[in-house]
Order: sequence, then structure tokens, then C-alpha cells
Amino acid sequence: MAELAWWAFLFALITGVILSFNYRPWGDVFKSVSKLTGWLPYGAFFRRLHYLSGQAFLILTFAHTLEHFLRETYRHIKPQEWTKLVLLFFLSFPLVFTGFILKGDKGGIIAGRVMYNLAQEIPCLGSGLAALLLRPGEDFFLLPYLHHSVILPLVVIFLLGRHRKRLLPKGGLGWTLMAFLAFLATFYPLPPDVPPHVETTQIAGPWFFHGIQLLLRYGHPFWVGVLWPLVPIGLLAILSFIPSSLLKWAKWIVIITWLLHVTFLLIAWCLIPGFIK
Amino acid sequence: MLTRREVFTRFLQCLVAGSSLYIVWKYVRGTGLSSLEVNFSKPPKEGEVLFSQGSYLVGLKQGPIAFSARCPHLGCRLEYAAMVQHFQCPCHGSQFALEGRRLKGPAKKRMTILDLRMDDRCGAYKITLPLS
Repeated sequence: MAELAWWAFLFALITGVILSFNYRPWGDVFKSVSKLTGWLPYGAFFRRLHYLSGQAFLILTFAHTLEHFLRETYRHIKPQEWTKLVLLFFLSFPLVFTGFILKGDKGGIIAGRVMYNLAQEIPCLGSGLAALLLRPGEDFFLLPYLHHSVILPLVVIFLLGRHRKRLLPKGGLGWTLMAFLAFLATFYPLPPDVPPHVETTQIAGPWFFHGIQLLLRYGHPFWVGVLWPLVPIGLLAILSFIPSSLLKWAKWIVIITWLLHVTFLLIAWCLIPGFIK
Repeated sequence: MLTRREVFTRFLQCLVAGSSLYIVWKYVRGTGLSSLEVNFSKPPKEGEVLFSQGSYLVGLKQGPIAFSARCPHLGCRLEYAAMVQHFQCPCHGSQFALEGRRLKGPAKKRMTILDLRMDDRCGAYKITLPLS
């Protein structure tokens, strides 16, 4: 699973580099993306491949973390190794989220604003953190671009650690994944981009954010938009530091918080039209 | 005691680190605009809602009033629903009356009123829209 996630990350990296030759994170970004998708030879294919490999990375990292959680690996490995794995899993979300912003369509712009405003809700650190994530105004996409294409990939490469060295011996698995993603990219249509000026009655964020988006309708932005998503990740990260007498309870708390997240996600998909297209 | 070569190497390292930090700081800080001047060439009629570059100009009985199109909840762009004559948030469902009053949450505040000025020479309305 880890090798597959590493391969998915590599494909996302390579296709991202190819796309970056024609992507401009300033000016009319939506036009830049439309041009990239519609006019450039194989532009749509590479964009789909980039999108799919990013999603594959997120899902495979989740599966890898889940596999080790169920095997209770955190009992046997060094705490910092376990924390690294959970941190890697956590970082796959902002990596995909910033990619969603960089589409430059209405959904992307609004997702960026929501991220900025949610960060500002954090007591004391809020405004400083928000300033590091995004700058409102004409340079709206610059910082998400910096995070998506430089900072987060570098941190992910660092955290992948020993898996980097395992790449070549099991290369065959990677080619199978690439063939599968390329097949999907040829036939799978991307979710439609909504131009920024078009009026819409419903705007949805990235699919994994839909449950939180639903909760934000009812709860305080800091509690449901910042703290609640961090609870299951945080609990997962500290598992290897918990004394073994309490581990059984801690494991069940992690499972319950994750199940609650999945439940809210499913409720959002069932209740709100337009969340699944 | 450091040799001349070591001093020179450390100086170069500091120079590279310092200039890299400076570039990152400039990149993060930016030089972008902090506000935007929005123009409406004609005044709205009573009950009419005009939109331009992130702001609404609404014609009310007591005169025109300008609002930021950003939802005070989390900053999504409010849409004007002409059928029911109110503003609504496409992300989290807040609703606001034509005069900016909050009708339905999760937003806690009313719509943000913007400073509106009239150009006496041509009758156009000008709004300063803060970008942050």
C-alpha cells in the first residue's frame, strides 16, 4: 500500500510539473486553467491524471494508515515513526485541498476564502496563520500555489522516509497503477469548473470536506471547522505515546470519531443536493 | 580559531540563507492591493440589485446602499435570489434581507455595509471594497 501511495504521489508530482509550465497563479487563473484544459494538446488528459493521482495518493495513504492502525503497529514501532505516518496522512488533505483552490473556478475561490476565514477563527494564532495560508486580493492564488507545488511536496518527500528507497525493486506495481490511472484519465470526466462570475445556488468544497461543510451550517466555525477535523488525526497521532493500559480505550475513541466523520460525510451526500454530481 | 576559508564559507552560507528568507518573506508579504475601487455607472431603482466586482448596490426606499458580497460567516460570495428578493449563501445557507438584515444563520452578523460615494459630475456611485 505504501509503495502504491508513493507511486501515486510521484505521478501527481510529474503531472503537476508538466501542468505548471502553462499554469499561472496570478491574473485570470480560471482562464489559465481553461486554456490549459481546452487548448493545449493533452492538457485535459494531464489535468485528469494529476487530479486522479492526487486522489489516489489521499486514498492510498488513508488505506496505509488504516492498515497499520488495525494491525496496531503503533505498539511496536518508535513513536516518531508512527507520528510521521499520521502526519503524512494529515498532509495529504491540505495537498489535495490547495489543488482544489488552484482550479481558480468559483468553487476553488470560495474554498480558499473559507480556509482563510476558518484559520482566522483560531484564537491568538488565527490571523498570523491565515496570512501564511492565503493573501486576499490580486495575489489570492500565490500562497496556495507555493504550498501545493513546493512546501507540501517537499515535506511529503521527507516524511515518506524509507519508502523512497523501496521504489525501484517493486516498480512493477507502480506501472500497473499508472496504467490504471491513465485509463481512468482517458475516460473519466473531471467535475465541471464553474466560472467565477456565474451565479449558483449551491457550492461544494472537496468531497472529503462535505461533512464539515454540513456541520458549518449549524456549529461555530472554530469548533466544527478547525477543531473537529483535527480531533481524529490528533488522537491517531498520539496513540503511540499512550500507556498500554489505556490503549484499548484510546483505540475505540479514535474509531468512534472516525465513524462520526464518515457518518457526517454520508449525511451531507444524502441531504444536500449538488454535493455529488 | 577559524581559518580565512571557513569565515568566507560561513559568510556565504549566511548570505544565501538571509537572501532566501528575504525572498520568502517578500513572497508571503506581497505588494498587492488592499482595497478596490468599484464603480456603478447608474443608480439602482427601488428594489433593484446591482452587482459588480464583489459588491452589491441595492436601491432602497431611503436611497441606495452598498454591501460587500462576502458572507459575514465564512466569506462565501452571497447570491441575490430575485424570486424571493433576498441574498443567500451558496455554501452554508445563511440568508439576508434586501437591506442586509440577517434572516437565517449560521451567520451571526448582518451583511457588511460599504462606504458609498456619489460622483457629482457624472452621477456614478463609487464603493471602496476592502480586499482582506
